[in-house]
Amino acid sequence: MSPTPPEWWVALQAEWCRALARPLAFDRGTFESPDAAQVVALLEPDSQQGEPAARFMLYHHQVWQRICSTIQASFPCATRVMGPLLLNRITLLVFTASPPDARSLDGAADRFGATLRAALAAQQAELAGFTLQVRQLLESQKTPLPVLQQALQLDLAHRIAFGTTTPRMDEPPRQSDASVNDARVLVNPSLSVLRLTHDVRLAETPLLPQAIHVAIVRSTDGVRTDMLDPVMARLLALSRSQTLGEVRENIARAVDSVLLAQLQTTLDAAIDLAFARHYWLGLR
Amino acid sequence: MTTPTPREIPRHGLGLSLRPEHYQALRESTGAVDFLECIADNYLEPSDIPRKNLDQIAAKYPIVPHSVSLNLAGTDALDTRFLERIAWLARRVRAPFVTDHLCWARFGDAHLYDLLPVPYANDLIPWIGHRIQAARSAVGLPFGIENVSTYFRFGRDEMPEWEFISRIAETADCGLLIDINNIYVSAVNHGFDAIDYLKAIPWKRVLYVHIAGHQKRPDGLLHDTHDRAVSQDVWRLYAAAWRLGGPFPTVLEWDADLPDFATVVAELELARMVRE
Repeated sequence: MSPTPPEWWVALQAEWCRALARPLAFDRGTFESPDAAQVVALLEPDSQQGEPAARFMLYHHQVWQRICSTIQASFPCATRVMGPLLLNRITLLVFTASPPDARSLDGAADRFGATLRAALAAQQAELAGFTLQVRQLLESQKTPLPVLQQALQLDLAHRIAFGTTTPRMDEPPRQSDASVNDARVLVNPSLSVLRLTHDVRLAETPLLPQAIHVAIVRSTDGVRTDMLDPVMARLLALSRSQTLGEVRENIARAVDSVLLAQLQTTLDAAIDLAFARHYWLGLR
Repeated sequence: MTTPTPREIPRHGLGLSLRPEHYQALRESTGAVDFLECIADNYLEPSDIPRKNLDQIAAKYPIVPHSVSLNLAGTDALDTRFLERIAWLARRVRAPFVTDHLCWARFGDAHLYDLLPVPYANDLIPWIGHRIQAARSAVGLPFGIENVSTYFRFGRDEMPEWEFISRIAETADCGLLIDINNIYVSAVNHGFDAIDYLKAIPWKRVLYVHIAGHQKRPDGLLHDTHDRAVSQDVWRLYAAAWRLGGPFPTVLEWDADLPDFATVVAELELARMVRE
């Protein structure tokens, strides 16, 4: 018969878990409430050791330092827009509302990203509880929300690209073969195409002279970030749900007659490039 | 499925904990170290980029997978899926053994990402020993448990740490990964004699040892930080361990404020001089 854990050990781990999940007061570095000594008394310290609260706080610090530093490293663009201290406060909000439930810190970062994205996307009337807290905190620090949204999109796109496996490429099709127009494009699942209006790489996040499009993708060489011209951006936007022939027709319809003559060459080059850069993996 | 022949770790071997910052230097080097220890958890995520790096390095150096999240002293069910993946990684790199820590890291759905302390209580020994046996069986290789640095002691302690870990190793019939720096840190933090600890270790069970750097906090507590060179006190303790239980393979852990590869290797090479 398998042994079972002593009941006291289950109860003691539960107390530790509760204490580790408590947030700290930012100004004092101690528990907000109740007093640290009261909390630590429940953790059954050895009465002979000096300052058990200070000793326990070292574990508390380790747990939260690991989580906060992982979130900062995982969301570098969002960290630049918010600043590390505000990001830490949002991190505490996310993980004290519900403790990390992923085996890995990377999994915790996934949940943070999804939670922050949802909080930023929520309409004013939908804000309540946790999302309201996050938005109030961001607004109290005068965080430019549209810029933060773009920064978060960039970070999430990099995480998606890194987190997928190396793509398997088919032989690029010959465009002279008429049958390719009936085939659907197999888009690289790691591909994200973003439209950016601010330079989120800079702390001041200045408005760009005009919006740019970037592609972030996992290729056989690793994760790549490419600037896109308007034709390529349109091509990639359309290619997720259409055949190559439909993509061509839709792009042709979207440009004026002056450009139409030169479009065929440009579009053929863009299609070749989409395969060469691994935005597309093949045709089906 | 055939099990690949594990690669041997020389008993006098010197190794490093594998860090991405050193991938390039390791790819370009030959024989810079005798083996490497990798954090198994980092190579089991969906992305295959870390695994490809590991494969390249495993082609040149023996690798020991060292996990941080098996939660061996936890109270929930062992994660059999995760154990299967560790076993898969160990086969992939032809590991001679696998290790994790004598600690807990999760309760219910909450993952705490830390190596949390365990009371040295008699009635925990069968529970933890049983879980280690199950982990070893699932991995299908010799399995070792590591002593962790501790900062907090429990009123429920019924024996010193060295007796607790020895009895657990005997109950589980498992190996030991003895962290010399952790013994020193805990000895200072709790006021015991580190030599007493070393004398009580069943050295025949020791698979390898760790050395690392630590910080002294303003309140006098030592903190196991792996962010600097090994202290003179820890080198002295390492020399004493070598006299008592050597030879054993040795891994230097350096995780934060990581210097270049040559500096870390030079620090590791000190072990050779210290034990002569």
